[in-house]
Amino acid sequence: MNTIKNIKWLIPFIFATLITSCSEDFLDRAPTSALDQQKVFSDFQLTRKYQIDLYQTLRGGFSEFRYGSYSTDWGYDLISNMDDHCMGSKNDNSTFEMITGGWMNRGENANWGCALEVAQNWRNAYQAIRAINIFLENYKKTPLATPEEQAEMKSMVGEAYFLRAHHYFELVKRWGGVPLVYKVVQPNDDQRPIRQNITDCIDSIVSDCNKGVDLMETGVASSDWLGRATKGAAMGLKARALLWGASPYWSSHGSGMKYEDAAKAALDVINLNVYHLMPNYRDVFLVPFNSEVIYCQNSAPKNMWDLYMWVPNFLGGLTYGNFQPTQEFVDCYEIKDPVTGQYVNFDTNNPDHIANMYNKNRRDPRFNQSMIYNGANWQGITCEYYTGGNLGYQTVGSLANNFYTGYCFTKYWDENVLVGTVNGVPRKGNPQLNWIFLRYADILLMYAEAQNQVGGPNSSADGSDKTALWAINQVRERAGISDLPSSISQADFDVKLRNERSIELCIEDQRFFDVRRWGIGEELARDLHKVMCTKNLDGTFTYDFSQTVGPLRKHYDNLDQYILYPINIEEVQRNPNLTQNPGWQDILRN
Amino acid sequence: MKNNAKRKLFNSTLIRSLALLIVLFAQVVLSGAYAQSPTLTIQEKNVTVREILSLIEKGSKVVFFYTDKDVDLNRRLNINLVNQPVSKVLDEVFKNSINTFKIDGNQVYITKKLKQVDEKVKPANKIIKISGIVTDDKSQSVIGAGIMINGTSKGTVTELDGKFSLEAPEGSQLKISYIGYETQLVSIEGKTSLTISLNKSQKNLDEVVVVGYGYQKKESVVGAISSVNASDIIQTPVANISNALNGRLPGLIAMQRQGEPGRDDAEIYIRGKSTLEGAAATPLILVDGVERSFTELDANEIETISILKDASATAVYGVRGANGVILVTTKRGTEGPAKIQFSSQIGFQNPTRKPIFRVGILTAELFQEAYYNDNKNADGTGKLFYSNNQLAAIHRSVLGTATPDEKLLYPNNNWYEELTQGNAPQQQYNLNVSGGNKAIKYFISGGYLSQGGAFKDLSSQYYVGQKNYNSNYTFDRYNFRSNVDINVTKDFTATLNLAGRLEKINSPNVTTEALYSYLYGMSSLFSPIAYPGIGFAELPNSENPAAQLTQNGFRNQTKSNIESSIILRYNLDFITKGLKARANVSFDSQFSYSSVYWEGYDTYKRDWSNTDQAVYLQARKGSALSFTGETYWNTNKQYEEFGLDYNRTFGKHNITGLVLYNQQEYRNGANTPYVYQGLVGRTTYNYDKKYLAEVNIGYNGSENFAPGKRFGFFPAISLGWVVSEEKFMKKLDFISFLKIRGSYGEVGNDKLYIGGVEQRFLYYNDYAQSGGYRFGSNYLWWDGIMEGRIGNNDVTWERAKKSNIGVEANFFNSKLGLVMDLFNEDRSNILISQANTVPKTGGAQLPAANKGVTNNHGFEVELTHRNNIGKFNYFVKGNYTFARNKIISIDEPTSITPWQRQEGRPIGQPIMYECIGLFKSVDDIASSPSQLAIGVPIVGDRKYLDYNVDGVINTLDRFAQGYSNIPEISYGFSFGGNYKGFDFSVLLQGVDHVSLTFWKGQNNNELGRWNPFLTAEQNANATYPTLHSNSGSGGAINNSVTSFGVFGNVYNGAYLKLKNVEIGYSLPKSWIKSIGISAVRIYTNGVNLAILKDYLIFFDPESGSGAGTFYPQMRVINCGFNITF
Repeated sequence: MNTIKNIKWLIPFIFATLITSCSEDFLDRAPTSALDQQKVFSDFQLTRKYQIDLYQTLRGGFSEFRYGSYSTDWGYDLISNMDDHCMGSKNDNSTFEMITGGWMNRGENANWGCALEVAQNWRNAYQAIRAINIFLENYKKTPLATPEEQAEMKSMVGEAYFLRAHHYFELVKRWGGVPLVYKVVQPNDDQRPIRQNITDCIDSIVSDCNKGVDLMETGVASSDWLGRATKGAAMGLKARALLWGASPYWSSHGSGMKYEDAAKAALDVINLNVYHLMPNYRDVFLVPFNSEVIYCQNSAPKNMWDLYMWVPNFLGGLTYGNFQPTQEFVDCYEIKDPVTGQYVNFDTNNPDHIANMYNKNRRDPRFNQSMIYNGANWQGITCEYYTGGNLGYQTVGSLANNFYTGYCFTKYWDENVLVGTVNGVPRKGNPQLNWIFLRYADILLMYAEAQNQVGGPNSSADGSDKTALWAINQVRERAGISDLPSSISQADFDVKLRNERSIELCIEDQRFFDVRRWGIGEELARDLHKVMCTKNLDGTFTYDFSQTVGPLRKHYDNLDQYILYPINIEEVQRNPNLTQNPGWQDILRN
Repeated sequence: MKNNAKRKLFNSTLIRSLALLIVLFAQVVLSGAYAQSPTLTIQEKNVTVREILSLIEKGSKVVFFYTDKDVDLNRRLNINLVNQPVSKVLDEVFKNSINTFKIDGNQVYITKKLKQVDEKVKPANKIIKISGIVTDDKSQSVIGAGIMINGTSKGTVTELDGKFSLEAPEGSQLKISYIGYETQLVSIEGKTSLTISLNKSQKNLDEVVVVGYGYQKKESVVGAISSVNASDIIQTPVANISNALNGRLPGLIAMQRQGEPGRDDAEIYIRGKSTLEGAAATPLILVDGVERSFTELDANEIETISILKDASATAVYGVRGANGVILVTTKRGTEGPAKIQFSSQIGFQNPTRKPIFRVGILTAELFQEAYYNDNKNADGTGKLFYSNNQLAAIHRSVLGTATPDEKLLYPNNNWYEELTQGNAPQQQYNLNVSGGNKAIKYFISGGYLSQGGAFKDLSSQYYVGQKNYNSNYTFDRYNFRSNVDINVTKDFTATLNLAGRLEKINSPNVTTEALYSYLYGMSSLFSPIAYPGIGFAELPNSENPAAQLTQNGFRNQTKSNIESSIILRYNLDFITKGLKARANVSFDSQFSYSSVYWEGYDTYKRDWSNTDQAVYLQARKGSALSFTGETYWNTNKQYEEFGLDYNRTFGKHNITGLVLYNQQEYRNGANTPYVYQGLVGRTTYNYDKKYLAEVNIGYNGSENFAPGKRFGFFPAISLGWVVSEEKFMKKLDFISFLKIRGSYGEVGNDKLYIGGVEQRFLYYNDYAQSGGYRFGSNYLWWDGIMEGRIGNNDVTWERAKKSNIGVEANFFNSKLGLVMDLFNEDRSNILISQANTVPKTGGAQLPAANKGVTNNHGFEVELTHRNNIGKFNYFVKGNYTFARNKIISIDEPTSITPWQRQEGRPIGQPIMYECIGLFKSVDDIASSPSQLAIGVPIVGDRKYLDYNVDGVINTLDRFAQGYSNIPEISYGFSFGGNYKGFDFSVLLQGVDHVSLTFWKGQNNNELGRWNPFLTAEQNANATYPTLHSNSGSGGAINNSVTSFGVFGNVYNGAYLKLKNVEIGYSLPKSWIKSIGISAVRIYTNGVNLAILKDYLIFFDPESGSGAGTFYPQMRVINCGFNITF
């Protein structure tokens, strides 16, 4: 009984103890072991990790040609639809959305759609630039213990400058002059920058490239670091930016860039003597880090590119073939004249050309190396592209787009590498593939283009022995077609050069921007065609080139609109200081 | 032996006094007399009668019985007595008063003095001995009911088993009274044995109301609180309690969005939604004082559910009370012999709505038309999907005259009927035992519930092999609870609450959403379910729902819950009178385990190109049942609370106080624990029960905020005036009770969400070890580090400023009751992301900030009428809630189109096109604003309003219209009654001012569509757009059959439902008494019985907006019985 009675005196004591023992520390739960900026930049290893992650901001074509949603065919970048050589989908929906304003119905927050793509390109670039700016503002705080660390840091800084130039060029080639952000924006800073003019933008890209050239070596420290940027990458990007600025559209819009500078910059890369053309065109895309690659995105995430973009039906009916060459593009491949042995322009009115159009021995070999067509052999199967054939118009479930142009790209796809099965059907392709941003053949073509503008096909920059004609013929010879004659006029050379770029660099994210800088938008506005193939009773084929594909191309009536991307509507709402690009202002009307 | 031991510990006086604890609730004050002194010394000046009685109780072992209204307890007097017996003291106290007393052993009855004339007039009758039993309206014995001989001060109280005996003059009347029940007069009329059944009282003034961290008398409550009792909840036969509340509580909005067994929690809001994110708008829910889920509680275990609505009621919850609080209390034992109750019920579930599945030739015609619309040439010449021969075959298939092959080609299946079953079973059993003595009171309950699924078991028809698993939807729940209260000493009680629950949820190995989208996407024509003797059919564009259901494996989830609390209470009268201490330590744990078993199935396609023989191609290859994965997680919670209560009366001044500390730590898997701590304070004051004042304070903190920002102070003040207690009101005797109350206060909300994602530790600024890159010819992965979240040190909780004015009134002797509340709430500091206002050029997502502001206001009315016509007792109740919110500030750029701005509009109001008709002709399309931004329209498609009159239909023509999908108006209407053993009740419930947007058409009038084969004149009255076969590309999006409500249609979500009906019959006592049963009630009831008015066809109007691919809500019709031993 005594014990129980005495409990009562214990109670207030317990209360007092419990209440006083509870302190605010109880609420301290946030993780404390994590890193902050100061910790990162006070340790070389951590700083290096931070710098390594800057590479993750690279966003190559495999990411750009993204497929948004399983059962619909909107969603990839504008590029996939809005040039004349590739069809992004059977119904051309992306183009349709952009023209009609329908893209705004799905804003930047949608799962898929053009607006999302436009917004993501913009957002990703500025996120990358912020990350780089943080590095450039802080790397000096990192203690460097050894000469090796000092050397590596020097290169890392150069790479950061180069990467910043890369991202700005990705912005500029899409939007023209953009806001230049060269410091880390803090929450209380002004968040509403204005757009800079094109000259300032190119100048600052060149300036960053020059810093990269000064700080980086021509090669990486060891093969373990393949994929890091090098001196050549910065030089090549500089040449590309200068050529782009000197091109007709931008020079007529006051860029002030000169072809001389572009040619000189390209020749500097050639004279580095680090890069060489691969003997076989197809190997350029299948052999990683080959001698032709100047810079690339390592093991680029393909986002099911192989499933959605390539040959329909090969993966147990799951592929979509949503990315196909037009007949206009196919016609760009030259054909060997049986008499002269020279490669000449393909002529659809020439019965001999038509009869031999798929003849490997007559057609530019790159045709067979880049795509499949009726009668082509692929993964051991003879492609039958006709109604009733194994890859015909309506052979499988309606999910697939099938062969709506009659061709399908196979570039980048190694038919011999088995990476698994889909529904029991072998899935072939490259498990890891680099997206090549810049390669030596492009440098040669850049040089040829710029130098031809400076002094014609037989001129050369810096009085070197490397003429514009020499440069283009390097590329043609590797492809296996005949040289251009030295007698070619400056104007004809330019036509041939543009054709050469479109073939050599097909689906490398070039044509879309080339036609815009050249100011030849009207070529986009024409109706595009496919080939229809009928198998005759005697086993021969009849080809019909008259049918159009992508019926909505006729809507290209406001050419101004298609030179530059729009800034997505939400960003302009957030920052009214941004002036909208020509042709797109209407969409902002309230 | 045990009993003997107890007797040693607790003397008989103690036991006797504890036995009568229940009388406390009867407002018959009781107290134990522990001291042994036979005489008393009381020397006090200007003390109240109440205080003197209390002194007597302390100083002697007597127990007083009286009712408050009979005794003038507040009368003051001087008393000066030394060493006098109790009787002498009482003589002194009651001399010259209106009261008198009678001592019977230890019991003292205080009553009004009887008028002399009455006593004289009465003839002296023979005294007879009368015994009897008192039961309540549910035929359960009543302990502690007062039995008085009418007109005298003589009487007794019922014993533990409800029995009483006393001596009374022959021919007199007995007056039987008990808290919450009507006082009855019973004539003895020569009987010596009586059975008295009490009726529930309409006068609830003496009721006790559950408030935050305690109880208050209903008459002195100044907060806005509503509650619902066990009996109302239990009559709704739902598995999930959250679906039983709709329409029963003014201020509560509960929408059952879908009906999947075990996963069908209602979406609950109190007074609507005041904050921007749905997940942050949910009320705080406490079961027996601890934050716990209540949805899977067995209704048989629940005593009451209360909702706290205004700041006065919720301020004590401080940082977490802004969305209102739901308090659930479970049943406890009361003193008396063990009462055993067993209930059993069995019911059937049917979907409240099901889709209309088109079968027969009509399907073909509709598809033919849709295909024609999408594929016709520019000149209108047709491409048709079916040839005349095919149509003839389809016809034959429908008529049953088709060849076997034709039947396979055009099967005319009603997939919905083939796969689903009506009358899915549901059953529930509960056994509980309650009772207690002076030392221990207990409530022990065990229950089982099982809910069957909506699909047929197709295994015997289609399964290849011997199936040894269940792939239907099923839910089984096993639960027990043990609530025990122990009186350790007279000042010390210990309570142990222990509850366990096991929930088993089974479902096919396909997500519910996918299964229903396959099912609703089926056409009756395209494919059979399976080819006889071959196997499941491979379907174009869809998985085969029958195969997914039957042979795709299953998912199983098991959740086990333990909830336990120890609560200690200690009387600290020895420090100061009226002071009590309490402590609550709780530990809850939940373990959830989910496993997935997958089994592949074969599918086949018929090769129709082979006309000579039936050739089947295997489209996919099955595989054996295999275990493919498991997930499990554990959550546990520790809650501690320590508090001091104070409750004392000084004359007419009644004061209570509360100071309480609490803290909680909740661990959810590997997540950083969720913690909070706080101090609670409350003081109430009332003068003469007439003028009421209350201050509530929450001072508490959340781990979510930076040091220095963690703690917040949340005060609320409220005032009340019981007008009916004023003298000038006494004349208005039709007003039995009138109280006016008002409150103002601030409450917080620390649940921070952005885009549905919970935000924690927003003050924290970090760099994350994440990302990286592959370098080198071997693609070696190198880890990266990137800038993480940019912290915001200023992030803090949402703050709600709530004001409330209420009136509570009873009229006509409490036959009519009215409660009315007017409220306004200004919510600020709502966490919003700045994603829509800060440009992306800075490259960083700026931290979220407390910049959102909203307003929410409205009112609630509740009317109650109870009366009886002879032995027919009835009630009619109605409640009505209106709550309208408005966004004042949100993350929205100022340059946004005015008619699309969210600011100034209700939260969640849809921004949509408006359909203004159908295109009548090609010219109509040409002369109308271009709709290309949506798609290429054809004649018969929807035509949209050019809202901004710019000649183009594009995104800028969408405008805010309609309501959100949370109703602004919610109401309930119920009535019921009982006559002898029969009882019934009916609940109607409805909502209004609500809009739903569905991806699937909600009109059933495709039969009234624009028909391309008719002329414009014939189509003039078309009520539905022309059909499309392709929902995806190009122009078909305009109004494809499958993507309907997206552009233009906001459906009215208003409805009125017959929510609940119950009819019961209690068997007469005389039938069952002989077999030792005290009560038996049989009943039948139902929920979601009928949708009386709404605007949807396919879905239940409680559904949320969206694709419509959810498990449908169920109508349950149920019957059962309840036996009390």
